[in-house]
Amino acid sequence: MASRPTGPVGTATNAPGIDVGTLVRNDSPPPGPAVATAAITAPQCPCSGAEKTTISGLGPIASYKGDFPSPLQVMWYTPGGDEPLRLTVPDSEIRGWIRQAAEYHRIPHVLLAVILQQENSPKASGGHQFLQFGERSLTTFASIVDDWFFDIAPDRVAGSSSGFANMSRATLRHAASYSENMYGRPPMPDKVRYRLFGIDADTRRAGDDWRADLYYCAAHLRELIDRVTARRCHDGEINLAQLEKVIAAYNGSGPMAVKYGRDAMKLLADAQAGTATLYFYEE
Amino acid sequence: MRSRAALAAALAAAALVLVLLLAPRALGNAWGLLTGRGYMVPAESSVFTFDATVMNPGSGEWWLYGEDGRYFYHFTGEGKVPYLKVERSAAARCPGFAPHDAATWAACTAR
Repeated sequence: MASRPTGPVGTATNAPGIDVGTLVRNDSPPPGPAVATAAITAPQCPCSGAEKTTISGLGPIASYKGDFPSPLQVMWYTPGGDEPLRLTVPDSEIRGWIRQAAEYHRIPHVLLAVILQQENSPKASGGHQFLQFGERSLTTFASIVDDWFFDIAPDRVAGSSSGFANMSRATLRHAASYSENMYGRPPMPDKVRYRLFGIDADTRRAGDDWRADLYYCAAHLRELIDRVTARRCHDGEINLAQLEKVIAAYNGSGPMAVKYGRDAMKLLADAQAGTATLYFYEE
Repeated sequence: MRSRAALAAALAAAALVLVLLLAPRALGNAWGLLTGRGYMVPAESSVFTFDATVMNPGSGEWWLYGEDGRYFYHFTGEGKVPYLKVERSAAARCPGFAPHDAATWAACTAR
């Protein structure tokens, strides 16, 4: 368990209403006289953090308010300090977390929703969902053991994909660093990071906390948008071809990733036409 | 009864540690085959000898590069045999061959 840092180096601002944490970026110099000593030099980030990506060519998609058909209705989650103690979290609230994670990293909400649906197939049977939950939980457990006991667990297990968004350990950690170094933005805001009794949810492990997973996933999608558009700090619209490439890149490289991207685009087209449902999307 | 359960648990833990120490590749490959979408072990190799050296960076859990005592492998995901392989002895004779850069394999590739 880590406690809340007591001396933040500064407070950055972002879009109204969005808590961007405590890292300093280039548009928010530290207060006080500019003394050129290494000890107090704030990290400078290439992006302002206000960059926002939207999608052109995609029409409105119906908001969904029902239950998730997948994944299994069990999750790892540490309640927030201001939350009442409870055993269940309404699906609608989880969809709210998805929207907040997309807003925080300023990526299209629908992009995060479609990725989650791709990674948690709504067509999976109950047995498959149960096995998937067990597999992802074991992976997370192996990752925890690996961190605590000197790299003892095989990387093939501890480093494999896990969590709500099915991210690998290496990808997740890279995405979190990218967000910090390029955008001056911690992977998640303090309100999401620090939970009951000050428990730190920013463990850089997939599956430890499914709300945190959403923020890591959104951070990774922000990184992929920059990569696919070949523009640091992408700000503006991406077209449908670029969107497909971002989705495919989330899955990886090669023909199977291309198919993943194509399937997701079909899902989006069907959802737009009203013949399919985007279960993780609620306005 | 309780001591038997404790003994069984201790034996299971010891067996797991033994597998981790003696055959980490087998454990990793078995895990990949059981859970990984797209993970495979080449027909020329085995769960005991195959080492996936570069994994796909995305959510798809296939490897990009792997090797065993005899071959280097590159997963292409295409065709009946979805990988390329190069014998280590051939790779040693191939100018500029890099195990993790399939672009350098062209002169020494055999399907």
